[in-house]
Amino acid sequence: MKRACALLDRYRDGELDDAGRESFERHLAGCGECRARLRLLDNLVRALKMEPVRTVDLSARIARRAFAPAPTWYTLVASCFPPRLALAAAALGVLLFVFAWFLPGSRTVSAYTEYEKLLNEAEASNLAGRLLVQNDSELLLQLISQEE
Amino acid sequence: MMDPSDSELIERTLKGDEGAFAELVRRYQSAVWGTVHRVLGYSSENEDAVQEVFLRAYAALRRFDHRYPFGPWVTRIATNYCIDQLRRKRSRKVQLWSELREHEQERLLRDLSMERGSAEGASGTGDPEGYVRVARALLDGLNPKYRAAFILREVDDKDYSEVAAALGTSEVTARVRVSRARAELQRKFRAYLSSCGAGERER
Repeated sequence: MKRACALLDRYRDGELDDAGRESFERHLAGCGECRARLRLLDNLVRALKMEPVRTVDLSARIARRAFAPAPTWYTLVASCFPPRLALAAAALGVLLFVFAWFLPGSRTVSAYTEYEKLLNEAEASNLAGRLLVQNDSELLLQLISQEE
Repeated sequence: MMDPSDSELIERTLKGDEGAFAELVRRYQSAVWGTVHRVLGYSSENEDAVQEVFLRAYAALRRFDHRYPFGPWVTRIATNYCIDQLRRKRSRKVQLWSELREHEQERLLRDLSMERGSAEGASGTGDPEGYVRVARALLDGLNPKYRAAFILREVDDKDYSEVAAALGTSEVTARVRVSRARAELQRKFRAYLSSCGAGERER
């Protein structure tokens, strides 16, 4: 690239003074690279300017949307699904919950929950309970082995 | 009766006047349509883009500084929105180009490398839609920031201070981006020419 090629942008933007423009045009006459770039830019820009811009008046619609009350989380979720699908999903959810509730073993109290219950009782009442609290890790192991 | 100024419409909008905001949108929607269309290219999704730009403007309206005009502010929101969209989506314009037959590609590229008025050239007498397709395919290969700067400067005829305002950059950065876009377009054009065998006949 010749040094004068660096002035191509300023030439295209019409920012060279008269003397600068004349000297760049002398350079252009002998520089195929700069001529090709200017020609291409002229043609591309002309094509893009000819492209029609299709517009629709959206003012009323946009203003309505801007002033609409902010959506809540459940309206947002519901808006993702058609109404029938949302209803079916809700019914399925209820069914799954009921099924899970009555599933054998689903409400088994874990060893750890049982252990906590014992601890609470022990703390609240008697001396034997306090002794139990002091040996808590032993009791926990015992309860876990029972459950297994 | 005189039309209310932009500032009055903004004040009324902030007080809850929906009609005032609709009027503000009516005044500037063609500018936003233009920015969206020229930066993103024609798409059925442009309507959503225009709506989103104004909804963003509405959400930020309280932060708008009334000492400055509303038009460039909303153009800046539109430009940033378009740049975000370009980063997120893979455009179909290059694909539209590759769907053309080789001899059609070659003809379009040859036209675009000719002087205005010579042969069929890109003077509008040949295949305007085809030229737009080439231009869009070339623009699609550009960094979104360069592309937006190029469109604002070359197609929208904005001066560099306006380009900088729309991009939210300094004037120097705007100049650098336009210059790089010009150089990059030529490189990509050359690559297209050589890929369809018309390279030797360019000059």
